[in-house]
Amino acid sequence: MCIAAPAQIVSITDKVATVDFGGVRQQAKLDLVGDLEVGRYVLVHSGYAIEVLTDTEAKESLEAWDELLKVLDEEDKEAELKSSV
Amino acid sequence: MKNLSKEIIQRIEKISRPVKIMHVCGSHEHTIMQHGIRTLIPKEVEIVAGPGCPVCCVPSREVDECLYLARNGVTIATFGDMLRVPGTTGSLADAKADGADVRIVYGVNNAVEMAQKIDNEIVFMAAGFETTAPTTAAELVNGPPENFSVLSSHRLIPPALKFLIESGEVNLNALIEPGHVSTIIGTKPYEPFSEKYGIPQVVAGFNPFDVLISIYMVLKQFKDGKAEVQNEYKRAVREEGNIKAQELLDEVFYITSREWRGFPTIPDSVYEVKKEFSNFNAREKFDIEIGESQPLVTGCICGPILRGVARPEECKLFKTECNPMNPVGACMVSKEGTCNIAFRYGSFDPSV
Repeated sequence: MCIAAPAQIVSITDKVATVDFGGVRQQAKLDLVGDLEVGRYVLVHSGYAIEVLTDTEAKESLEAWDELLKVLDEEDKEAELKSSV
Repeated sequence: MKNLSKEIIQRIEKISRPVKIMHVCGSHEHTIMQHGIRTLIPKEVEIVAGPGCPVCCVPSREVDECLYLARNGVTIATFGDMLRVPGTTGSLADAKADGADVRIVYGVNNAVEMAQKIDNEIVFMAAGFETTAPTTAAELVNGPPENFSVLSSHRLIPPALKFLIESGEVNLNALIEPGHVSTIIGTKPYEPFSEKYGIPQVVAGFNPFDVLISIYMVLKQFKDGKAEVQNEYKRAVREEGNIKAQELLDEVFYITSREWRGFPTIPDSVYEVKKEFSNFNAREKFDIEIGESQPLVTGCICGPILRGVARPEECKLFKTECNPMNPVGACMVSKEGTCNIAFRYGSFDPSV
């Protein structure tokens, strides 16, 4: 039930945004995220925006996971270096 | 293009070890079952589902409270999944079939809008974890109509985790933490489990890559001899969480101890509406008279399933008497329930 999906704000009227989930439009209240501009991405749950996302975060690009693996690899390399010293 | 999932699985295989990782989110169970993740990783890496479905965790007693109101002329508004959750004398769907006014809404805001349009008393049956509770809080702070009130079933995840760890029944070694609960509460509330009990934890998103990488991150913590809270779901979870939402929760709710379905009383695990908002608390507004609640239907093992010590396949009612068309237990009702997901996506054991 804690399902939430990223959507882009297309308009705002009185703290209620109309958000676009890639074609499907819904209303999302902005009480939990404060003032935002049209064009921003938000995470929407149960009629409310619960977090603000950057454009790249919202797009869930494969590069993001790749980047995370690289960071983990760096940790491994550092640990190896330390243990070999 | 490189095959990212294959690469992550290879990494998992490289540092695999016997370990029991619990997640507590219906959406994680959904991702795991839909993509067959349990069959993609070594058998010794066991992924168990805990109490991750807020609708399933609502005990009979709280359904009984709603049934009492519905049968006494109050309009009940709630999430669709709540309708068939069994209480002692039936479900809200049964009450609706008998003529009670029970309505499905997508969120508390729809229930408030409904209250503006009708004269009858309307009670929002507020199920949901920390992700959903702030939406209820926001509506109460905004001043809903006088004929609106909530019956809070909002529950907190960390106290349930503490209970599960301390009971020792599941014997869990690591935790995959629920992404959207963490969007609200941040990563700090989980820290004691690593510090005090040495449990590696990863806050995870809901894409299959998120889940696979989180499993890898857990195993890597074991390999590196670490036990800490790591955040895989950085795109939606900040360390401090959503402060605005937390402030609203503090303003509207206090935290109390109450039972969960399948659990005894879990200390400090339920949000209840503060005195300042008692006009909007259905438990204060109405004299709700219910008798002794019956916890579970005979033969149903929802309790052990919610505690992560049994799988749906072990229940003799699974797929026979209990199925999504005719759910006996709460875990078969909701699309987030472990039994419902197991029914839809096949068996946990690939040999069956």
